[in-house]
Amino acid sequence: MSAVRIRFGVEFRSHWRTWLAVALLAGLAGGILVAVAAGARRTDSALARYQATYRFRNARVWGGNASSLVAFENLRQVAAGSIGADLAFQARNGSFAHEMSIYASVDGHDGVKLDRWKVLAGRRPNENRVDEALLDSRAARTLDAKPGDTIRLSLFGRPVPLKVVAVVASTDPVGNPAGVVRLTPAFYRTYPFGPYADFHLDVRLKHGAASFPAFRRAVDSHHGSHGWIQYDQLQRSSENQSSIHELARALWLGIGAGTLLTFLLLAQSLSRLSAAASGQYPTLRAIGMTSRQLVALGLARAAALALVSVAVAVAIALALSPLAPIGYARELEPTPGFDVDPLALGLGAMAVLVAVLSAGALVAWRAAARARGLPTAGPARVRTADAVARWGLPAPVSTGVRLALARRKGANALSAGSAVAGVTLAVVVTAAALTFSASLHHLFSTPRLFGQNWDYRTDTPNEAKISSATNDRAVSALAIGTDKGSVQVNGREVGLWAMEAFKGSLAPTVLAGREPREDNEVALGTKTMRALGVRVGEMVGVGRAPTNQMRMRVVGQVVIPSNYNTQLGEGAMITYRAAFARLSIPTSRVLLARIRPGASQARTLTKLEQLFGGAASGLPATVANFGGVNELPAAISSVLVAISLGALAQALIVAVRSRRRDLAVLKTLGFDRRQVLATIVWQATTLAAIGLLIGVPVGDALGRWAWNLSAEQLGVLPEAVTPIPLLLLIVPGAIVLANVVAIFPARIAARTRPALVLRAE
Amino acid sequence: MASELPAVQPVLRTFRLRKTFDSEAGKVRALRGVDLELSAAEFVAVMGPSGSGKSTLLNLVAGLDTPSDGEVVLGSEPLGGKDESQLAHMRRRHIGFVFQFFNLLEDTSVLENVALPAVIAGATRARAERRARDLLDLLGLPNKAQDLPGVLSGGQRQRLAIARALANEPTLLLADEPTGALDTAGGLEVLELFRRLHAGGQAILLVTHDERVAEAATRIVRMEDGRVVASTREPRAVTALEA
Repeated sequence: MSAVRIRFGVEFRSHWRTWLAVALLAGLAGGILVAVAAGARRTDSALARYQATYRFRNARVWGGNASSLVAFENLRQVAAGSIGADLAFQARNGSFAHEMSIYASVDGHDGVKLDRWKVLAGRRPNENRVDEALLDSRAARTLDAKPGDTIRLSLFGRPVPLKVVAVVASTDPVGNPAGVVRLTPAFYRTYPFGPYADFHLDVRLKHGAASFPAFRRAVDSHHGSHGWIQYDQLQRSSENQSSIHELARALWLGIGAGTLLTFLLLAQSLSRLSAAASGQYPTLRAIGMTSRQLVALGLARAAALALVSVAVAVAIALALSPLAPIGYARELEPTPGFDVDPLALGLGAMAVLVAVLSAGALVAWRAAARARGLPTAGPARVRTADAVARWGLPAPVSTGVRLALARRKGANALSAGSAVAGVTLAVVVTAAALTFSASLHHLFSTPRLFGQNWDYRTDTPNEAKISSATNDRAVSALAIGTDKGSVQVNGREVGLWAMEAFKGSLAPTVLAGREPREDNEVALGTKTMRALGVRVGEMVGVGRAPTNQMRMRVVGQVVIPSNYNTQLGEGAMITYRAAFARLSIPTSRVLLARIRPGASQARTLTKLEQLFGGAASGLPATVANFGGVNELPAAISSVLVAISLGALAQALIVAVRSRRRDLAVLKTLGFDRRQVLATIVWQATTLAAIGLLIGVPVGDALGRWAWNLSAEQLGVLPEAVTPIPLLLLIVPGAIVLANVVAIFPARIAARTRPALVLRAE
Repeated sequence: MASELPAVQPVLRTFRLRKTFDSEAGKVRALRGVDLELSAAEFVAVMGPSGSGKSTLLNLVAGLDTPSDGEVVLGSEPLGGKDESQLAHMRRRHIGFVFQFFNLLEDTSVLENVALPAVIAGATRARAERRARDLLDLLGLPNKAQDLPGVLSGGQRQRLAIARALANEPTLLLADEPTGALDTAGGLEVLELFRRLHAGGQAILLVTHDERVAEAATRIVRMEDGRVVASTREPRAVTALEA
């Protein structure tokens, strides 16, 4: 092994700068991937860590009045509780009313004993001040307000100005997509709300979620007379977590593709190093070195690089850690800034080490095999280039195509292959991202896909004014019922949808079967059917408690829009009569209306708002939150495109170096500088064309598959769209980028000095 | 076969040609003032030991390298002051180059290797291919047109390289040790070819360190240490190589 050590020392002294450059490159790419992996974990865990840090509530109970809720607060499972009064009024920003949750703290416990606030800006409100309001980040965005601004609440028809003193992290964007406005106990005491307030009790249980079943039983024993549980922490957390998880999942997908590309880039770089060193291998073999020693030499080189790469990767990952978490999880992060994730860093460092060593081993083995004189294929005919030449295209075109497609030997084979693979992968990811994004935009602009086929919704239906609305020709459909209550289906609690049509039909989108028509019929969301293991045609028990079940036939699979208790893809739809007359579900009513196509949307909404209050319907929170993923595929594909362009540039440089004899010969035959430049540009164009031919259709198919999978998980109608014009734009985009990347290697090629090269050869 | 030039005008003249290279050991003076003239239809062999500056002279004449001092005139065109592209265009018109190790494009067919210089020079595909087939016929490779160079013998490979060098009917054929990589039979084959080309009126400047090869030329120029030390007209029979 001393021969290996001596030779290693010689190589190191000659090439240490190049080695360092490759190690830094591998460390940089590895560090970014490790940072993304750590970021994905931090993003995914942000909600749970937030809830633990800020003593998030374990359950919410609704009750008729504040004093009745005190009984639940005193249950032995409860560690802390806070009572709030939900006010059925509107927050206004200019002339537009927003459907947001506005509540006043009754006892001043929230933000102190539980649901402590993560203040993003401003200060805690003075609980004795009537005019101070706290907004969550969603409300701040909806109202375009910041600490110091004044907002106006519309109370009994008169505006009440309130000073925004703080903006805090939004803890429940699914339940309150437009945000939450929190008012002080002094406000609650000052204004007489009468029937215009719903009271809730938020509780933190002594043993957290483990105490919930016992707490639930205790609440149920008073059910109907005092209050009902709207949700527990696990249910609401899973709804909020799902949108965060989509981001984390997209990051992991990016890591997968990035790892593949980085490995290719690494193999390319190591091939170049090996090619530089292996020129001496035949001599070394001639003086007695064995193949095993040559492989060991390559491995020693890779190990030296790997150690530096790992150190750089860990440093880069730590340096980038403040950029995580991303999306909504970022505002929840309890400890923003630098973060050390030992698991991600440990496994990431290991992965970088293994990747560099395995790429090094592969390259070392190939170099030793070449030195051993193992038979390698000779030059092969490049039929495409022959055809291009026969067509009479200029010599640089056929030569460039030939350089791109010619079968290479040894280290260059790896470079050429990895260049094609890199470009193809980048095109695949870009095409997939475009198809995915187009499908997401299609979802946003097609409410029927998420079951929302109305334009207006209000929690305060005034039945005396319904006829005014139904007589309006601009209103094509109107229904009253509930989308807030919950029922148990085969013992599983799910959100309830039950509407009575006053005009037209507002039934959710039916995926299979039909909507329920009889009282003993139910239609279920996709996820609920999957969770229950039932199919259309089967019987299930439906009721408000496990002991009070009514047998119903599943007649359809529907998309029930998300709201309060219902997550997209979940829920049960029954007839209005079954819900209120047969099962006596305790829940308040909502009114939905759809505007006739062609009628003035703005004018009709204003009219409905004047009749009932409420506001225009936006995207369901789950869908809107999923929109956070929208920019991520583009961001990931940008990174991958950058890496693949690096791989392409590297491959072209390697090709120029390996073909410098041919380029010198061509210059001897009369190729001028422009023709040499054009040759390399055509080589890059050919590689890009191969990537496009494979990548665009594969990427589109991958994007459609990913979208359908995501749509199914979201619980919306899976309807992927192929953005043909955008996909076609990839073609010139990829070719232009490939040509831009080719400029540097082309200039190297153009500087080839034939006399020097041919003498050296 | 060669491009038309006035009979009185030499095809090549070099004036006090100097070339100095920088090396780790210091400056290397490869050429130290070489004056050379080669008239149309002349076959000149440049001889000398390794490092005497033979190949450097050839590269300067071909415009593949630029002299440190002095001038090269091809026909009536001085090469001094021309940029890289102009030199490339000059090579297309006036120079054919034959290398010791052939320097063929190995993944390109025999026919394409020969047609390529004409295509580069702007000939139509049909014309370039027709000329290439004529040359392959002339050089005894008519049945190899669609093969890759890798299947040819050494002698055949050099004949292919010569065919490629003749594709644009050059004013001057330059050959750098054209038999150096060939066995005796292959060497003879190639020398015979040069003789035939010369007989057809092709001006040839050939570099060799082999006396027997040089004897095929009409004039021998001897170089030592970057200088021309002798120029003798002593044509011999090619068959001397067989002795």
